[in-house]
Amino acid sequence: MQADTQLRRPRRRRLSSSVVAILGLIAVFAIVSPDFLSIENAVSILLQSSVLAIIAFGMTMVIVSGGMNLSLGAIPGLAGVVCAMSLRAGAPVGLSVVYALGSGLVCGAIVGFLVGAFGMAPFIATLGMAGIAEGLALALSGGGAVFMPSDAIQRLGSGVFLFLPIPVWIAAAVFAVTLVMLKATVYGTYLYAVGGNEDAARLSGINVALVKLTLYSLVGLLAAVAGLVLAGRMNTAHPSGAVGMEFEAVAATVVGGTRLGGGRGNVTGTVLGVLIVSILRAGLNMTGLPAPWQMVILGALITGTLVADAMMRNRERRYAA
Amino acid sequence: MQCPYLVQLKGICKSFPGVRALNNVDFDLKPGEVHVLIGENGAGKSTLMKILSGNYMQDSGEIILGGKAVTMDSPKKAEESGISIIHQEFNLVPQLTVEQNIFLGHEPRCKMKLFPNRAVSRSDAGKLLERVGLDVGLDERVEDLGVAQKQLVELAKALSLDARVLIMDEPTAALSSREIESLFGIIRQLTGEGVGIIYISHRLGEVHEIGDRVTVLRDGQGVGTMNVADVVLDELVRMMVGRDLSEMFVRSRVPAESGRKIVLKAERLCVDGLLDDISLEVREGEIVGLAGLVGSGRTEFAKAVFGVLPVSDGHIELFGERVTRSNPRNLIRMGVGLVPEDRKDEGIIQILSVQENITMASLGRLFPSGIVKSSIERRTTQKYVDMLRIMTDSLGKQVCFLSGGNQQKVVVGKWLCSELRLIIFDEPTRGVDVGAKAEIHRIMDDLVRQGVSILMISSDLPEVLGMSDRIYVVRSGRTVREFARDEASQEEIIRHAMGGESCAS
Ligand SMILES: Nc1ncnc2c1ncn2[C@@H]1O[C@H](COP(=O)(O)OP(=O)(O)OP(=O)(O)O)[C@@H](O)[C@H]1O
Ligand SMILES: [Mg+2]
Repeated sequence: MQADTQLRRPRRRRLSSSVVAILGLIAVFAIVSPDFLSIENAVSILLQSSVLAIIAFGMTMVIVSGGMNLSLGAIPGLAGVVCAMSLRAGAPVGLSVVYALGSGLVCGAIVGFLVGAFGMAPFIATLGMAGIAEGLALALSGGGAVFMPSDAIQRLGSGVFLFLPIPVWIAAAVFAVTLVMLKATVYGTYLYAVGGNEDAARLSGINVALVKLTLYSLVGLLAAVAGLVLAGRMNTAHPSGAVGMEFEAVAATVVGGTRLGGGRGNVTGTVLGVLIVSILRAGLNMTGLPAPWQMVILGALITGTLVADAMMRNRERRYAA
Repeated sequence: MQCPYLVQLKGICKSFPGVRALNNVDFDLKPGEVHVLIGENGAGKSTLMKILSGNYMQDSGEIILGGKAVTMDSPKKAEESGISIIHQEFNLVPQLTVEQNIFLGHEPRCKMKLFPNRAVSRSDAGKLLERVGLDVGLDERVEDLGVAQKQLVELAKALSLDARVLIMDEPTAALSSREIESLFGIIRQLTGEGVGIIYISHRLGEVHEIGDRVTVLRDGQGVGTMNVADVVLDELVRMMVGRDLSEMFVRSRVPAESGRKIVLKAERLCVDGLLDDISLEVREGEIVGLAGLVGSGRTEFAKAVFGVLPVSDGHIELFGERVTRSNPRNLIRMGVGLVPEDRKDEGIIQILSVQENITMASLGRLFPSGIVKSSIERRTTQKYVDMLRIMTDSLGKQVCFLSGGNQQKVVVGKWLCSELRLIIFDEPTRGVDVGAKAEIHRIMDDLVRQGVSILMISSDLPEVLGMSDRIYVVRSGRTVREFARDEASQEEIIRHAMGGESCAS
C-alpha cells in the first residue's frame, strides 16, 4: 500500500543536457571559424582544460561535502614557486616535487583543521588561506615569475604520451581516482553524508572532523599537482598563475550538476562542465573578439547555464516537496 | 557476580544556557524489559537519552553499563557499547539511498577496509526492510520517502547495529495503527532475545500495551518509577503534569446546519502516480477528518490543494471559486494555511527564534506598512506562547533548541497567528503531550466556532473520532468512504482504510 503512492519524480537528465550543450557549442564555433574542428584544436582545448580539470575534481569533492574551497586558485602558484626555488637552490627534482606537493598538502591540512576541528566556515578559512598562499608565493619568488630549471617538470607540462599531452593523462588519472573515491569507497559515502546532513552523519558515528581534515588535505595536494603541471607547461612558475581559476572550477562543478550546498553531485558531470567552460573560452578566442568582450560573454553564458539549472531544480522540487 | 542491569544512570544533571534540563535523574534498564519514559514536552526525556547515547555529555552523574562506569563521549562510543537510538527527529541523509542510510557509519566492508561490501550490505538491508515491514527499493533516495517510511528506515538502521540497548524516542508519532502493530511485534521479539528497550511516547495508551516499567519525568526531575501493572492512566497523567487533568478534550458540538457554505471542494482530484480520485467537501465552521493508513495519499492531497504538487485531473474549488493557479503564496493570501507533517523540514526554520517563526507567516497582516514594530511582534508571540504553553526560556531562543513537542507547538502557533479561514492540519499533535494536545484541540474548537474551517489529517484515531464532524477515509489515493461523526467507529475506519476482501463497499 505504501509502494503505490511513492513519489516518482523525473530523474535528472543533466549529463545528456550537458552533452547537448557541448555539441551545440562545437557546432556554433565550427560555423564561426572552420579551424575550430581541427584535431590540433581539440587537443589544445584538452591540454588547456587539464589544469582546470584537476582543480575542479577537487572542488567537486569539497562541494559534495557541503564545503567550499577558495584557496584552490592560490595553492598551484605556491606549489610551482616552491618547486622552482628548491630546484634553483640545488635540490634534486624528486625532492623539489615532494616539497611542492607538501606545500599544497600543508595548506590543505591547515584549512581542514580549522574547518573540521574548530567548525570554521570553509568559505572564510579558505579565503584566508588563499591570501596566505598567494602572499607566500609572491614573497618566495620575489614578486615575479621564476624560471623552472628542470626538463622533467617541463615534460610534465608539455610532453606527449600515446598521442595525448601528459597533462591530459594526469587529469584523467585524477578523474579516475576521484571517481572511484566518490562512487565506490566508504569515505566517498561519508562525503555525501556530511554534505547532505552533517548532524545525521555525526550521530551515525562518523568522525566528521576527520573526514573534513582528510578532504581538505587531499584537495590541497591535488591543487599542488595542478600547480606543477601549470608551471611545467609554461616553463616558469607564476606566483599568481592560477588565481581566479577557483571560480571557474566552481562554475564547472555546478554546471556539471553538483549541487552547491552539498550531498549531491559527481565528477563525471564536472568533466563535462570543464569542457563546456574550456570550449567556450577557446571558441571565443578564435572569433577574434576583443578580450574584455570575451570575458563578458563567458560570464553571461555561465550565469545563464546556472539560471537554467536553478529553474530545472525548482521544477523538480515541486515534485519532491 | 552478574549485574542485573544493562544500564544505570545515577544522579544525571544537565544544564543548557538558560535552562536546567535535567536535575539529578536516576534511571535503569534490565535485560528483556521495555522501560517506558514519559513526561510533558520539555521535561527532559530526549536530553536524558542523548546523554546515554553519547550525543551530549552530562554535567554530573554517572553512566553505568553492566556494572562498569563509563564516559559516553561520542555516538561512536555508545554504538560500540551496544547502545542504539532512534532519535525523535529524523537523522537520515536525504540524498543517500535507503541502504546507505541504514549502514551509515558502520558499513560492512571488504577486507581492504576502503571499499564497502555491497553484497553483504544489500542482502542485510533487504532482510532488515522485510523485518520492519517497509516495502521500498533499497536504492530509493530517502528524500523521496514519506514520514512513516523514514521512521521505518530509522528503525531498520537502529536494528542493524544488533544492540543490547535500544532507545526509541517517540517511534510511533509518525506511524499509523498497522505499522505500530508491526513495531510492537519487533519489540516483543527483541525483548524475548534479552534486549532492553527504552521507549518514549506521548500516546499514553501504549504504556500499558507494551511497557513493563514506567518512569515519569517532570521539569527535569524523576517523579517516580513503577511497574506498569501497578499504575492506572490517570495517575500517570497526574504525575506528569502535577495536577489533575481530564485527559481528552471534549468538543462542544453545534448542531450542523445544512445550509452552510462550502469552503473547500475537491472533485475527482488526481495527481500523477499519487492520487486518483479524491472527492470531498469542507464546509464553513466544520472540522473534517481525513483518516487512512500512512502513505495512503492524505499528505499528498494537502500538498495538491496547496499547490505544491501538480494536479493532473479533476479540480479544486476554494470559497466557491475554481482554483486555477494555486501556489502557497496565493493560498495564504486567500486565507488558507497548511500545517505540514514534517515539522523539521517544512514547518519551521530551525535557526530562527521562536518569535520569528511564529510571526513569519503574518508579518504582512500585522505590519501593513512594512515596518516591524518589535513591541507588537513580541506581544503577539507571547500570546501564542502562553496559549500553547510553549516551554522556552525566552522568545528569542532558536527553535532548534526547543524540545520536539514544543517545536510542534511553534508550527501550530505560526498558523494560528495568521488568522486564516481554512486550515489544513497534517498530524497537528504529533509528539505533543497530553495537556498541550487538549489545548490544541480546544483552540481548534474555538476556531471553528468562529467560522474557520479545518481539514485535519491524523493517524491518531481517537483524535479523528473525537474532533471531526465528518470523516473521510482515504485508501491508495482515493476517498473510499465518508462517515458522519456518529456513524464512525475505530473498527469501521480501520476496515475501510485497509481495504481488501473484508470490505465490499
Ligand atoms: N541544545 C539545547 N540548547 C538549549 N536548550 C536545550 C537544548 N536541548 C534541549 N534544551 C531544553 O531542554 C529542555 C528539555 O528538552 P528535551 O528535548 O529533553 O524535552 P523532551 O522531554 O524530549 O520533550 P518532548 O516531549 O517535547 O520531546 C527543554 O526546555 C529544551 O528547550
Ligand atoms: Mg523529546
